[in-house]
Amino acid sequence: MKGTLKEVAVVVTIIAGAVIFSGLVESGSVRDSIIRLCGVGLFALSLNLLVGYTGLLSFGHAMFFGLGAYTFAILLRTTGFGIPLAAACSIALSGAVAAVVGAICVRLTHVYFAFLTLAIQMLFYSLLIACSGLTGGEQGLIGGIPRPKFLGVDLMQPGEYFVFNIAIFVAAAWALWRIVRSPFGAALRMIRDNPQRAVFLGVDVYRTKLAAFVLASAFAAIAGMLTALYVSGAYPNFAFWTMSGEGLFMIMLGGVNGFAGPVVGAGLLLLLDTVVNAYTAHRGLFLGLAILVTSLGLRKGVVDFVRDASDGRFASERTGGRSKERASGAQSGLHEAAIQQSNTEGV
Amino acid sequence: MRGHLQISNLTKSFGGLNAIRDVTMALEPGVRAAVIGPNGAGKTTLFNMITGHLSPTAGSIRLDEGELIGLRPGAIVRRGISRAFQVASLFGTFTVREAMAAAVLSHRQRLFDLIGAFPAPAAFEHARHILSLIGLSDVEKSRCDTLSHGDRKLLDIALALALEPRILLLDEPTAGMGRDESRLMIDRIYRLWEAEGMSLVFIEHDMDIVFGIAEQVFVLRNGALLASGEPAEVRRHPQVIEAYLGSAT
Amino acid sequence: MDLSALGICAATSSCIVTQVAAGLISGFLLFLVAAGLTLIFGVLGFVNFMHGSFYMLGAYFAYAAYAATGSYTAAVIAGAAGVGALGAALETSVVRRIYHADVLLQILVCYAFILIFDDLVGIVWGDEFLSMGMPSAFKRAPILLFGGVIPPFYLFLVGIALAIAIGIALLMQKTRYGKIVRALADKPGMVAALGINTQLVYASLFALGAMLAGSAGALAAPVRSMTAGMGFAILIESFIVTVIGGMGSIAGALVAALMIGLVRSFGSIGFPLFTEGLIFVIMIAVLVVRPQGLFGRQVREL
Repeated sequence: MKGTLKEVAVVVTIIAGAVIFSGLVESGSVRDSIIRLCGVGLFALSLNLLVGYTGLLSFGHAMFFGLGAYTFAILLRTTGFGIPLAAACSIALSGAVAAVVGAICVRLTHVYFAFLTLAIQMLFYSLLIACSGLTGGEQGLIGGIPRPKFLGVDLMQPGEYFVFNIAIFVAAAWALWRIVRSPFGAALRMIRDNPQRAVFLGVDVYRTKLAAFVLASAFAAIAGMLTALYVSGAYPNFAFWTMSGEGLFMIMLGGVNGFAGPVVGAGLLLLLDTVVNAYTAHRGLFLGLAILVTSLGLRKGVVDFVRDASDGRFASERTGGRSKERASGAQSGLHEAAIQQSNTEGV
Repeated sequence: MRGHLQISNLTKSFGGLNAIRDVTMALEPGVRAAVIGPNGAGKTTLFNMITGHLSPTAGSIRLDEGELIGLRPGAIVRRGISRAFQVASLFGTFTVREAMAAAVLSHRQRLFDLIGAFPAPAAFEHARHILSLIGLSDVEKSRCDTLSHGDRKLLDIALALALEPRILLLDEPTAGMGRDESRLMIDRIYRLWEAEGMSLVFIEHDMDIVFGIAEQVFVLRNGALLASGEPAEVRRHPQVIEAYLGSAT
Repeated sequence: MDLSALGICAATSSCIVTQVAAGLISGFLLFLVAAGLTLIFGVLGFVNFMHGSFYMLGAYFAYAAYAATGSYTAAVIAGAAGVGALGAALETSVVRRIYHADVLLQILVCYAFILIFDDLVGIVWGDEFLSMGMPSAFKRAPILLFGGVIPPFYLFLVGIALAIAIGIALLMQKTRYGKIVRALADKPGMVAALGINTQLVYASLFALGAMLAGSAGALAAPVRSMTAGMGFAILIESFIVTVIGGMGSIAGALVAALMIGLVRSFGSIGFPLFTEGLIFVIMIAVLVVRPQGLFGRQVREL
């Protein structure tokens, strides 16, 4: 309970900070970058529920990002739905589709799972292109999305719109944070670490994975909706395979250890994008090289790398204390083994 | 706490090769039984069938009259049979007590709780109780992948115990251990049995251990049951002496 | 959906012949790509997500060689050999380092190369659709069979693809190299212990797989338009082929590729919008009923 109160306090503080920030900072571009990060960062966070916490390597996560965005945009444009109702319907639809897709995919492991999610995503993508009457085909949904007032919130006001994005992002991230720290989150990590042992401890691996898949997809849909509102439209590349690949790269950049890593990775990728787009039209070339350098050169996330490097530097200065927690597994393992040995011999 | 295990005419063939041949054996609740036999005799295959990891070609396995064959491993676990592995099978990134708490929650069917905190104090308490029983209290905050070999084997057993089994299957609990370590291990297993009273079925190679702790011994050879009974009987069984103990005596 | 059109087609031999011919050539081209993929997976255990790029580069290399020499033979050789050499270079410089790495890392590295190759193709050859045109040797009257029309180039394609398929089968079954490769797939440690340079075998095998995809791209160049990013669709299709046929099985890849070619060809008449979906339905049915694929050996756990 105490922990919950503390978390609520953090959430409220961040949102209050956003209110103050939006009052102080007039720069539209800074705000826009943060709003964009809210959508993309939440997408990466939701993907990490599968990749980092469950060990399910989805290469098709953008499908649900796109599904959420399109459903939301179409509902707002063609029905009289308000934002809360349209959002609820989009999440429900994404979750339902994820349940069907997941029921097929989560039976498979590793690279088979990656491929199958990728393939189904591409099926979805070709449907988006084909059903042009509903989706606008290759062009996407252009011409803007209405932002009707709801519950006294007017998203046409830049300040309120900014705070709205921060609030949704923080609330969703908090929900994910709670999930990975719940017993369910423990079940996910059990499956990631050792699915076979989990089975023999009575964990229903299939149902647990499926639930994770549906949850991650629902959060990806929220991310898609934020992004759709931001660009005021929905485009096929939301659901293209490159978006899924970028999500994986964000996770890699941010490092798989640590809850917020994917958001940091998303921020780094957006930054890289801004720089690359400023100097060249060849985004693919530079993004590809960046991925090769980080994945082959560092072999871990940039955040992991920086942290390990600084730990290595400080480890000798600190004796014991906190640095011991991150001492390399092998070393502390040996150490503890030695202690154990002497203990058992003493008995 | 009942737990009568009846295995009847169990057969498993892999592509025409019989790994288990027409094995029939009964285990009374609370018994300490050893399964022995040379390598390749089918001991682990037998365990794999009891726990639902393999499905037999023929025969039946009944727990208190309920047929286990056809059930999935998870369902068999819930009937009260759990196992530890020859090579300890743990959750690398969990600490010892986290892994235990997760196993306890799994047993209580609380793993679909998305809101509560993990690990809740109640699960912790039970986890710690088992850890102290098995003698792992002093490493409860260590990560599983940093444990020594002996502690890994102990934790593997502790995880199985978290399910409050009626029958506990131990696949070579002393594998890879020196003599003193093995003795310590067996000692702890015996104390567990005293405290919890479940049936204990273990695969073991060390005859001193087998004859020291087991009340009932099953000898497998080439997939078939060669002999069974009390240790003293089995020790005198001429075929067992010839086939298995021959060189030792 | 237009099942009556399918019915009309099925009732006329000319339509059947035309559709079967079209289905067979796309099936055989698909087989060449998928065979490379399944070979690499079967032996190296590496799922090559950049395999579609090899197909694309094969087509572009062939285009460039054809533009330079005017010889289709030279174009096919350039496509196959060029991509084979690229495959060897990639294997020795990058891919061999990640065989045992995390799947996340493997996928990211492939993803990076797809982006780079797509972009490079755009830089060198432009973003517009390119078309190589039919080589003059094949500019003849189509062959009429039971009233159906078969372009001579189709016969050539099927013949060449069959020859390559038989060649691969002979290489794997009859030669010492094939024996080593098959042994490597089963017991890599054993082969290394025999003093065979396994690294060389791995590199050559990866190059061979790449070459198959490259040759498919080169062979397809006269009948397909080219664009950067064209590799991705065939990547997905060849994955579907390997899943249906069984990962690692060349024979399975052949059967599944031809099946998909024919389904696509007839599906485009009967239910043009659902052809894609139908192929997925087949794949999912296979995955549910027989997860190891029609010809697959290994059974996956869980």
